[in-house]
Amino acid sequence: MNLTRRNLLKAGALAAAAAAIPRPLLAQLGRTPEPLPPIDDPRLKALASSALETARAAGAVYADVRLTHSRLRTFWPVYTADDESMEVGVRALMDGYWGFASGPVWSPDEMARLGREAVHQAKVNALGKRRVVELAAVPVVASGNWVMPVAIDPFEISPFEVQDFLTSLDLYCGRIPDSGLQQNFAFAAVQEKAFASTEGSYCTQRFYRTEGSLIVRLQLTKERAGNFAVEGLSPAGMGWELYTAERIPRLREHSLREEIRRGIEELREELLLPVKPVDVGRYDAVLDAPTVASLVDKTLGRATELDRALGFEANAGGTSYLTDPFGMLGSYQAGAPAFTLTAERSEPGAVATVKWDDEGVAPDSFTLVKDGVLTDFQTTRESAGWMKNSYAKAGRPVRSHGCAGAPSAVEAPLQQAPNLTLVPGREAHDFDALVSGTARGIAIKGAGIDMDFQHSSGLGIGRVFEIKNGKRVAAIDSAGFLFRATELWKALHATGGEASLRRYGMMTEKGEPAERCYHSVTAAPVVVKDLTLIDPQRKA
Amino acid sequence: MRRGDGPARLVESASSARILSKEECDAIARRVIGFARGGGETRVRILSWWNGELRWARNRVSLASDRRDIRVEISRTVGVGRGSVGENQLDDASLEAAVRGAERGAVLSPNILRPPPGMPPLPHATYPRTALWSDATYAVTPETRGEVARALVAPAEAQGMLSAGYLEMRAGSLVSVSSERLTDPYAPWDVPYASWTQAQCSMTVRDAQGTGSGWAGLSGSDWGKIDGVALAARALEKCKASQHPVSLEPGRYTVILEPQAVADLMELVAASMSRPAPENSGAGPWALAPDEALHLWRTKLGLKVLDERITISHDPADPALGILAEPWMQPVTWFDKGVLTNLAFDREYALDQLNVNPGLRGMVGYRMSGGDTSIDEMIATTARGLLVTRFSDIRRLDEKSLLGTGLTRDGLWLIEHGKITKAVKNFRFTESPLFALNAIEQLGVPVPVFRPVKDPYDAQNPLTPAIVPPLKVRDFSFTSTIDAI
Amino acid sequence: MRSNVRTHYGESLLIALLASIVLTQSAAAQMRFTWPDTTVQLSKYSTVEQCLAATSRVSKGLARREALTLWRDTMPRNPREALEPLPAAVTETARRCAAPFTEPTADLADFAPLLALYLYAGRDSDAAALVTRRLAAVPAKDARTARAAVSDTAVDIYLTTRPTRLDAAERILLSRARDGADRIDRLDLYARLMTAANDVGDTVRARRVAGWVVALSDSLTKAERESEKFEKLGHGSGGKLLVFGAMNVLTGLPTMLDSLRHSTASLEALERSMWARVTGERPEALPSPVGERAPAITADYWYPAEAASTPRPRPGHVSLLILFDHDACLKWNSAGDTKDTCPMALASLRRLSERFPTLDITIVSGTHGSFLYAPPPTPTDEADMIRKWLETSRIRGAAIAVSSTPFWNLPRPDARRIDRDTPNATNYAFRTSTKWTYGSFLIDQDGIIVAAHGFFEPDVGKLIDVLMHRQQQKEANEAK
Repeated sequence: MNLTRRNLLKAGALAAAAAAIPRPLLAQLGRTPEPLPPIDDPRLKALASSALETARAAGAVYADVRLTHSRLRTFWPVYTADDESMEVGVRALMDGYWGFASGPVWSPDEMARLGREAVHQAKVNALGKRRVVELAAVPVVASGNWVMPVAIDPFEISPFEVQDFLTSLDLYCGRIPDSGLQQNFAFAAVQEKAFASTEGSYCTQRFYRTEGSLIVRLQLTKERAGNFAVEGLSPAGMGWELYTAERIPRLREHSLREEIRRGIEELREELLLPVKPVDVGRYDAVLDAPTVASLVDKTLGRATELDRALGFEANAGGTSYLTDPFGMLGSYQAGAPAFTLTAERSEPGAVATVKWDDEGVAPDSFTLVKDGVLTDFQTTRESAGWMKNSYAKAGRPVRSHGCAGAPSAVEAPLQQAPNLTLVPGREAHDFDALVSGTARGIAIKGAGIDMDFQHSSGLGIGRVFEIKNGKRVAAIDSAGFLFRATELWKALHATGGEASLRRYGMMTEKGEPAERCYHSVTAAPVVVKDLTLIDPQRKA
Repeated sequence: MRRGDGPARLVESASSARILSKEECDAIARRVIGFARGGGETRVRILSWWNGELRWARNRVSLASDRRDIRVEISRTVGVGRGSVGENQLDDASLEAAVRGAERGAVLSPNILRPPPGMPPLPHATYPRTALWSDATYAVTPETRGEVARALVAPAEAQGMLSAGYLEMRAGSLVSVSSERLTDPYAPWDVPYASWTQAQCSMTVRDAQGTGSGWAGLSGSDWGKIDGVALAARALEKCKASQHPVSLEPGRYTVILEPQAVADLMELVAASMSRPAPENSGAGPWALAPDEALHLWRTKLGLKVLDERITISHDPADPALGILAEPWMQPVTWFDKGVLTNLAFDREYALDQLNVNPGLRGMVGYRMSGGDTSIDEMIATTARGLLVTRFSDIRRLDEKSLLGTGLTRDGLWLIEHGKITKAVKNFRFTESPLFALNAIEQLGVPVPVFRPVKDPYDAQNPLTPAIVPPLKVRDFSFTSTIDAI
Repeated sequence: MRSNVRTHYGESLLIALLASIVLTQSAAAQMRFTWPDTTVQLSKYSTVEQCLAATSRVSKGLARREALTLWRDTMPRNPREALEPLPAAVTETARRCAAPFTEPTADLADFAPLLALYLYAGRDSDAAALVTRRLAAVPAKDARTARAAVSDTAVDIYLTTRPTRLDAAERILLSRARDGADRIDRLDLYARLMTAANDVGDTVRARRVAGWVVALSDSLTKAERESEKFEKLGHGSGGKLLVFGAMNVLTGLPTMLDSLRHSTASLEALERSMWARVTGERPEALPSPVGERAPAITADYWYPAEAASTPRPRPGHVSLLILFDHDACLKWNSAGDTKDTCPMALASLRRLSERFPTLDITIVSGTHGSFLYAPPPTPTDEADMIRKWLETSRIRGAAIAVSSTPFWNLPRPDARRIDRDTPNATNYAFRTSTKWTYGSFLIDQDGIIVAAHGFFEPDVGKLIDVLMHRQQQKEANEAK
């Protein structure tokens, strides 16, 4: 039902007064301007409730609303740029169909419009064939507030301190012969989110995301040159301490300055190695932590998204190689017995960490693959409902694992990846130790991975080295590797220990239209057997 | 509905039109400029977008949405500095706070800006006529989208297949003005108000066991030109024909590339069409050799680099193409009968190196020449080859040869003795479009393809239409088989 | 159905509106863009580089603020500027931040940046102690080479921090000399100290160090003279020019001016003998056009128009010719920003024109087919735009000579424009084995070239002064 001026006027003089204010001033309904209230202000709850009331009045059996206030600050060594936005989105469920409406305006009128529009969208499609949506039950959060704990709020620190720190990295790098910083900027984002549902939940949260790009270039000679991205600055659920801390477990063992120095030394050694062409074949391969993290993420990380496995991304990113999710649960051998993959949204410092997801669900820790066997999928309230029979058989409760998310309230919540961890090996090996333990084989560092649209096979391209007698003796030019996901993880031979775990913040694009969300993947270096090494540039 | 005038009619809601009109944008710009303190120039860039979306999977709509947002970028040049902020609220307090933030940035900006005296006046940029707005797209209601979706799903469901797809109608507006030329934004870096629409429709039909997959899709500014029913029929047909594919040996094959596949491969070319890179440092595929005497690189401009039957061009007035008006949009031919004829350059380059005005935009949207051989005829005249629907996940391997690798997707068939004989498992290819476009056997009629905005966050490049022919190409290199369907 | 919905809607709207009235100061959308307290807590800074970054930031901030009212580019250059103390805010920042880095406990791994920081903080004695401690800590193996490297770094820092510490630099260089080590490196360092001293007007020191340069140069072996390293000295202009420069300093400007006072030919002879002295080459090999007859300037467009009727350089006048390119001076970007990189030179020309009313200044330029962002101009239009820009520099009595630069274009579709030399550029090329291209020429009243420089030469006023007096003297003698 569309709102016309005529209808408004009939509704009363007060309504007319409101309607007479032309856009865009409708956003300012208070009599005098005032600073934006913090997200846990009770007045925002009233605002959110009004959207839900309208949706319910229009016929929704379930509705939820998100309000987000996002700030973004980009720091360069000499300048700082600011961006700020507010969004609100309402989702409504009616007769098994979802509708969604969103916009940038926080005002009672907009709440009403969005509530109505979301139901309208759902209703229109409910005219079609029957569809059943069972939302897994979730405890009501009558009122909750959570702030992601960070040591240094990047929005409360003087931007000049940040600039000085970034400049100091530049100056430090410049002291080291043959090297320079190719890229040096940092990014901080903070988002305040309020969530309300017609089931009575209301919670507010504040999340931080800090990341940086610090790329060091080393030029020994015209031919021997390379660059690397300094470890530990991929997106994190942390504050400015991401840069300044002397050491961050699972991110880096040393200060950033020291990481630069060590990275340059290591790259220098690698650049001085003799270069050999690719000898196509199968090799025992030592993969470094970032390579493993990408592999884990893009194989099982994507394949265990239940919506994807059931064809809900078929027209976009594709499907999953776990083609029979319910049949494979508990029986599919996804990897070697040493392969265990867990998921959560609670790890401090990880970038998908929340107290409640975008459906008001408090995410739990769960295991996707245990001792090589597929044991669970990533779920939201709706997709957990699909698992109901499988869970019942396994004697597990039907509950969402809390994977609902969206970049901001203007986008609809989708099932997004949680934080993933590849459980480390029992022995205290690290990358160098794994190399030492390999008589003949290859070592692969920093590979970028391309998967097929079923996430079942892929191509990796990175820095490849020949290992002989436990040492890296040569760099292999223009090398890549082909793999099949299940074969790869079944060929897992050794995994680095707890101390070699490293956490990486990944950005994924999912949905139509595409949404960008972040999650962390924690992995250790591994050895896999019989990895196929190819020259990716060789034609047939 | 005239080009550039904004939406012809507002949605009946008094509280929100879906995108900002020219009058609203003017009012906002005036208010922003009114908040400025301390003199100097104020620039305001206002973008608004609206999406009407409908997504389905497993033969049922999974979500239908109406979404919209705004972006305002305010830049203040005060004294000798410039600062800018971005935000999305239009109330006075927000705009004023943003202006203050920009002024703070100006005080702290690292560059000292001081325009020298005695400079020539700013030139007046001219904007080409472009066809961007379609009432047909803008007027599509959620009800219509729902009906369309049901019509697209029904045939697949009737045959026991699973259809997943996406319908989107989008509209947007953009303006970028300066306090110094508010009523007449004539400078090359101003953007007078422009609005556009875009529609896209695509679907993937798979059988329940996942042994076959077919896809079809189309995008463009005019929903009226997109025949969703035909697309749905094609996707279903391909799904059925692609079931239970067999493995084939990788190798070099004659391929019949459907227009979508040609367009996918052309992305590698489209991304490398600018002048300065090869001319300054010999980078990219078009550098020829360094000229020591002149201290520059010669390029392949003027050389035949593709088959002479290939001409790739763009005319902003072409109603089938139409790209957001910028002052450097002119009709351009990049490849003229196989000869590399133009590479993109900006206005500074144009004036400095060529003494012409304005610049030349890169291959964002394009029309590629073809022939009149139908795909059926191509099949009938192929002794042994493969028919490719489209490619996916393409990555560039080498910048000089444009060698790339990627996967076939949603339909690959073996042709033997002029007939399609079997569905084939998908391949990974390792091939360069430059090689392929030099190994052409036959060309078909060019048609529009699916090429919607890739990045919904980058609404500045909303339309990237392409009109592309099917091609039969020999010796196309497939290097490994993949299991993915 | 419809009316039901309407009523329903009306009710909910009323509820919403009532709610909004209750929420008197409703949650309206207001962006903040707040910044936190921007005070920097220097005590938290733990690395030397952070302190240097803070110091640099404060310094740039002051420069930015100063730029609001002062246009430094057009002010006369203050030769003693490098010796002046830094603004208090800068020193204070450096001092406070450097407090934790005490001598003799600070980490020697931070030697180079810490030395700079000490100097910015005014802790010269700590700086000296640091250098001593660092020199003493070199490994026993290759001690000499290592010490030389440390000394070089220290000298570099003493010369590049502000205020310039010439005394300290000289002390280190002398002690480094005792170490031997690579002579060409030493030559480079001496030349840098000499230049730094010369730049700040410390002529006594400059001459002293110039003496070292010449002495060291005399002692070079043939192999060293012909080495690639020698060729690369002086930022690629070559060792010969570097040593010649030292010879100039050693000889001293007063002596050269005395020569010029006598005659241009005298100065020419002096310079040629200096060249022969330090390079061992024939005097004719001097890579300078001094003593040559200045070719006539030609142009397609003259401003003012009357200037076309007088030959330039003008006989009987001291002439200053500036050959330049608006392309090299004026820059712009797609955001609409325009920048002039040449105001210093143009402002100094203006000051000269005011000081010497009879000085004949000709600015010689050529067209390029473009002028900043303007639509492609004809040569006539472009010449006019050049004139309009140059006239804002108010150089009194200056003539502007613009040639329509001959050019060709690479074949279509490339079509890039390739400029050829204008007749003036060809005539005034005076190219030698070095890669110098002269930008300005000082010509005496007889049309002979007295000096050729890069674009900007601060001492040209002194030369002009001598030429003016020489003319007055001549006229006075003729009157008798």
